[in-house]
Amino acid sequence: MFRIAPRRPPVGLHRYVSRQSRRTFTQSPTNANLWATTLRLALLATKLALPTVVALHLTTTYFYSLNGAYGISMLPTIPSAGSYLLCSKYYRHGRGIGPGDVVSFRHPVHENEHAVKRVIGMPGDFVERDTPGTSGVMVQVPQGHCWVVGDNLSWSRDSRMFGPLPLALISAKILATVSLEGGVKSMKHGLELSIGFETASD
Amino acid sequence: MAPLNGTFDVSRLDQQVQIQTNGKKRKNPVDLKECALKELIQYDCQLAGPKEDPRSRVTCKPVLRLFRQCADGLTVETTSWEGVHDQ
Repeated sequence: MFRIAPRRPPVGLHRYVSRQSRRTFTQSPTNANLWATTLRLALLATKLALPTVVALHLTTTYFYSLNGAYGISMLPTIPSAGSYLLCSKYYRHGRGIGPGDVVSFRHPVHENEHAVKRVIGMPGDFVERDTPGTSGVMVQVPQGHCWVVGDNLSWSRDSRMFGPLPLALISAKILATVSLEGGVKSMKHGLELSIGFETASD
Repeated sequence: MAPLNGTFDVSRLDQQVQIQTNGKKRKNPVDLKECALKELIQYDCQLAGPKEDPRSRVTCKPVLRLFRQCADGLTVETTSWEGVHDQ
């Protein structure tokens, strides 16, 4: 009969390999283990951190964010310090924004700064260029722009200073103010039907 | 600030609202008095008392702004127009 011998490495080489590996192991056991553990930990951290970072970025860019706010330009609607704003990013670039909404936008003059003001005019609308009751000069809001004015008229730098604001700079609509003292207060839409006004159908 | 094109005095508001941003006249003329009257309250806030005094309080006086919102979505501020040029 003809028998096929099982494949195995030549005796000499086999011995050599096992001796080598034994030697490596006995020579620096801690180093090898440390490297393997570090690598495993790094991989695990990446696995956990990467989705978290991506999810956080996507949420704050496209859905909601909570940002600290300071400054007196939106008094008394937004306190000058110690409050946070719940921002909806659905409205970024001015989508679905109308007169009366409070928006957060990238400042057209001061780079890397954000500001919060109230929109009083959208493209094609007519607004007073200056503080109401001062000049009586009116202006039509150009296409692709809006007109923003802070609620605290005497202490706000807004469209009265820098002109119409490009809609593309709008990053969010403010839904609510959140603070320790006041709790959560939903942002009031400023424009309301005047009391006593009768529509034609009445 | 870039110079604003098309600023005009509030007395000409009735004629100016008929013009669109592209300079063309509206197909359906706007009658501001037919549009819904809306109001927005903004404020004039000042610190009452010396700046250094912690007892000084900020007091806000309301400033009323009026708007007309027409059926096609046009919003026109009429704060200086109501009762003066609305003949």
